[in-house]
Amino acid sequence: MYRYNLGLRFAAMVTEHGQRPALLFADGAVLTYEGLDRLADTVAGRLVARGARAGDVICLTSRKIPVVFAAIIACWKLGLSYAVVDRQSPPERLQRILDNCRPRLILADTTLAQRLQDCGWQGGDVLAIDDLTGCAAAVRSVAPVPVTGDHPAYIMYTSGSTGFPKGAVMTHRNLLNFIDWCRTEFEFGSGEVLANVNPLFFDNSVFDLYAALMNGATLLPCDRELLAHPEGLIAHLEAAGCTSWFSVPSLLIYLTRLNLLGPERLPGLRRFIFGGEGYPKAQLVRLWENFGHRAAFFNVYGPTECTCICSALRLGPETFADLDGLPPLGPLARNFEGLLLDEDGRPAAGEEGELCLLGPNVGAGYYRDPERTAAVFVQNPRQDAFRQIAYRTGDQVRRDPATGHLHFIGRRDNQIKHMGYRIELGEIEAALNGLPGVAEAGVVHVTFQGMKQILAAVAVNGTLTAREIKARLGSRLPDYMVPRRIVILEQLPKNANGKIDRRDIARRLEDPAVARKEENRP
Amino acid sequence: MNASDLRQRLAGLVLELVEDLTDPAELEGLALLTDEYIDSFDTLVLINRLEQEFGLTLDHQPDLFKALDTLDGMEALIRQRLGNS
Repeated sequence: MYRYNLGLRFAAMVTEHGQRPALLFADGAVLTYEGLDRLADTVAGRLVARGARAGDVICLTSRKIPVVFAAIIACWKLGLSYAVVDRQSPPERLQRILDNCRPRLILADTTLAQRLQDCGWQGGDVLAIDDLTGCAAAVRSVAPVPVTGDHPAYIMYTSGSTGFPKGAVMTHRNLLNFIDWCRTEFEFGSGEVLANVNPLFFDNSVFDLYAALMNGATLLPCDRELLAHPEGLIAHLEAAGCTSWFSVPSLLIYLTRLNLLGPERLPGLRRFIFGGEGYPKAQLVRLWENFGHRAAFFNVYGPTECTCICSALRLGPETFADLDGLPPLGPLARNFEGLLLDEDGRPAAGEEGELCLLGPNVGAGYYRDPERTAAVFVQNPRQDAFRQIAYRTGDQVRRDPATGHLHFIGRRDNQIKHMGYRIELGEIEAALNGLPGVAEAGVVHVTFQGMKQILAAVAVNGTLTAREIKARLGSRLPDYMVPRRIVILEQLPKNANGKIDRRDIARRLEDPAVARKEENRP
Repeated sequence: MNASDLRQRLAGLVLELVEDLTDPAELEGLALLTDEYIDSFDTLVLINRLEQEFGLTLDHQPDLFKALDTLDGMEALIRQRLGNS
């Protein structure tokens, strides 16, 4: 049996780097690897005392405070699966996530506790995070638990087209492979200081957390409140000697446009990694001009279902020979094999098709969701001698036969990437259609006011206004999924088959004059 | 461009982005970015809109975040860039 696990890997880090800072917070608080390990044991003791056992699910608030990181490590040690939930999640979405994962315990801060109260949660035990923070007595003897590589380590929730989020499960084995790949691909050593600007409920944070704490590096957790003050964010990262940055391009574009990433900023930085969405070269070149001479640039790509990164490409000056489009996705990471499939799910004849991933980093499916798991975690169509699961990404790609690099072409479905978040437009439409007074709704992702935005066209029964619809959606969807603009139409345009014509909606809404006029209609 | 015209145009642009306010007077004295009346996404929209509206390029503008944070800052920035201070 494969006995190595994340808890043992972290224990090796504590032995090797005990006195090094593991976490350095914006308020100046520091936890060394030994300190973090002690706090993790304390939390583990409390979890066990509250009845948590290997195989259980623990939900954690997304607040970036020491005890939350310690709780993640406690879960590694005890063979628990953790799911970080957005502490500001709308109550209905939170309820759906909790109904799916059925946590044994929820570690909640006051914000999340309030949300739980709002959604009337009665399904499990809630432990106030403040009780753990104040617990000084370390429990040094967590009983060893035989955690194997096949134990689930975490569940990461992502948008689902039916309106119900999907919980992607990653195992200890998936993550151990991912950690080793990160170390060699990005040449991480123990002297590294990694920014953690990604929210803990967002899959990019998997890289921050595991690449840092499993390689003896220092992680700089940056909470939402700090991100709202970008000058303070950059000043904090500079003071902490940040060497490595990973985020969605949207954040880098934002900081670049605010002139906070000039050539004199972040003097210790030697690595920019970006992914979660495409980085238009016309925008990226501005960052390259300021940092390309002293920092490595990596474009990474990958689905939540496969440890968040499956390809990485180190960019060079040749990337900017022209400024059209996006950089290539690059070659697949060594932990993956790729197949290109045609529309029928068979190996494609040419160099274009849906990317299908195989290998030790393919996750364990969606938690308690066999139907949606079976739809995309499929038998390798080239293998009938033994069971080998492949993950269908839904991403259409082209493979360059000369370099082997993959290029993103588009999606097979209505999934989009918006500010790095993976969003099913169908989930937004389902939320809109669930509102009393909404007759039908169509949601599109289009360029509006110079930016890609989510816009919605809605037909209503009665006098419902766009503003009222938006306000009501806020209780069902997270901020980043609520359409920026909602326009009321008498009826939605239909195509020849009688289906909602999203192309026509997009065409109408892309015109600011039309959108503004329609939006203001009662 | 007189002062009230510019102020009015700026308030109009900002009100397109701020959900809960409809009256330009309500924008006075607000820290629009710092207090998250305008989020990071809409900050980019705002920059695009200012560039379009006034035919400017705001790249390499020092302290842009501070300038965009208030109507006063925005007005001073636009005046400076239009050579109209």
